[in-house]
Amino acid sequence: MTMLSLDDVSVSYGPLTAVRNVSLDIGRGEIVFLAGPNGAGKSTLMRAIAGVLAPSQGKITVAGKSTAGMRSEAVVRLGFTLVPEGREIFGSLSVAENLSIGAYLRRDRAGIEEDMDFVLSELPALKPRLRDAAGLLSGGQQQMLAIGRALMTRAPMIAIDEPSLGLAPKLIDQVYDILLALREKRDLTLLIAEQSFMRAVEVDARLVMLRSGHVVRAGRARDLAAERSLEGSFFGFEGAAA
Amino acid sequence: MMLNLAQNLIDALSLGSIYALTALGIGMIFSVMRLVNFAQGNYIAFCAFALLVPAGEGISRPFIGLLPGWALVPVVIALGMLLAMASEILLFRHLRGAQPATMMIASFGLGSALQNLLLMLFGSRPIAINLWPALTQPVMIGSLMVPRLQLVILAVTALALVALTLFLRRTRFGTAMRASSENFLMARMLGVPADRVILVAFGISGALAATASLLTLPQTGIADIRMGDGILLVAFVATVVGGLGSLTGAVLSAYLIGLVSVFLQIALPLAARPYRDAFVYAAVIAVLMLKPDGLFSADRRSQRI
Repeated sequence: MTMLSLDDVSVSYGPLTAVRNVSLDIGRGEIVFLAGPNGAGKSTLMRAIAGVLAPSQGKITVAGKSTAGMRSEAVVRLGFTLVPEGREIFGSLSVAENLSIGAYLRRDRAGIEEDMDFVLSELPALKPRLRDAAGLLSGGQQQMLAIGRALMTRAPMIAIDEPSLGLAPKLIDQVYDILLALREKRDLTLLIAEQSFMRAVEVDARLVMLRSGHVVRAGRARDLAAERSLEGSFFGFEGAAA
Repeated sequence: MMLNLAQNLIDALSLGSIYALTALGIGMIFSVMRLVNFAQGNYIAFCAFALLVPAGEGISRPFIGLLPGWALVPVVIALGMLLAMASEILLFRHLRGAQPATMMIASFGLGSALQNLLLMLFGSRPIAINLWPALTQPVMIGSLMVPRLQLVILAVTALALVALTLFLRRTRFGTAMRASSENFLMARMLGVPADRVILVAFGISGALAATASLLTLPQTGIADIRMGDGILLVAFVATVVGGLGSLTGAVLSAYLIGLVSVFLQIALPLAARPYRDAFVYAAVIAVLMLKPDGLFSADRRSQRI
């Protein structure tokens, strides 16, 4: 089953086009990395899927439904939620309140409580901090909280924009261990943006490389890594990519 | 002397309460949509005139004003909420994504339209309203003589503050509103409905305007199409001094301005008293020069209600 489908999607900021003609299909349970340097259009594409930006062209389909004209609060109902760059946790709210906002759309009390227990058992660092203001958490804990909050929505697909941003390497490993474990347990579909493609190679995921808004390479990360031109695609040496 | 001090303190607190209710109304809307709604003062005047039937220049003909208190209060509060919510649905909703300056100017336009509507219906002369005359009777607390109205103002304001705090802290929707005021986009990405959050914020600010109106009327005894203007100005200054976006800061600053006003009235030499407000605003300017982000914005985490 296709969870997310992008058909010839372009996104513009006024006269500037940040994403050009991107087509991509992601199946349920898949893990896909969007890699590319700053300004490649990774965040823009994710924000367009989340309904924050309207694509200037093309069609976005989440769980079989077109998101055309939808606002972000409607897209999350379809089963897609975004953990944006910089986490964007609610710093003045407590950790528990942050998690409860994730479950805002849900009415199943028992299910919410169950998920709260699940999140706290998967992300034990949050447990002793439940009553604390989320703004007081460390960067790693804030990333965990943002992931936990996304889990509370029960959306089967989660996009995460640069989860490694500003974290120490050891913490990054920890975040990825958690993400991969969660994917198994919850049958999550993950779309992860990173500047580097190395993590995609490591976890043997599908890799889509963006540069200047274009898809320059797509395929299994390990296959692409075997090609010597991968760095060339990343840095934009056209000669090397040829 | 002590008695005087206590009396002045009660004066200051009841004056500050009216400012606080209005500052809170401005703050509620500002915190969720970064709009300073200058029509808030006109909501106050509108609620006062809602008690009357239009009957030409300066003539008072009570309408809702004839209702007993238990019916009058909810009806006026409902009218205040309806007016504020209508301004969101008919005006501000169509300006989503506009520059804050555009929305602010639109709120001036709305305020002016409301004022002219009242002018057209009721004329420009203030109209005497005899609302709850029993409230102006003083009560004795020990040897202290306090107008009953001031005690009512303090109690009602305290009640409103507690109710609003509980709503924002203890309910699902209140928590969603606090999340929205911190990061609206993120809240929406988690499913918090933007339009409903903003509509509720307007509803609360309208209820606060109606409350301020009903508490002001028995004291002044007149409905005046400009009656909200002075309150609005002080309340707006209070939200700025408190740090825009901080509800606690707005309330505390409103009381602070009430205190400073009343005590300047006592402390200033007789000749300088007519210029009391100039001294108040000089103090405000001094505060903003020293703390441009407002008095209570140092740590936003602990300052929001």
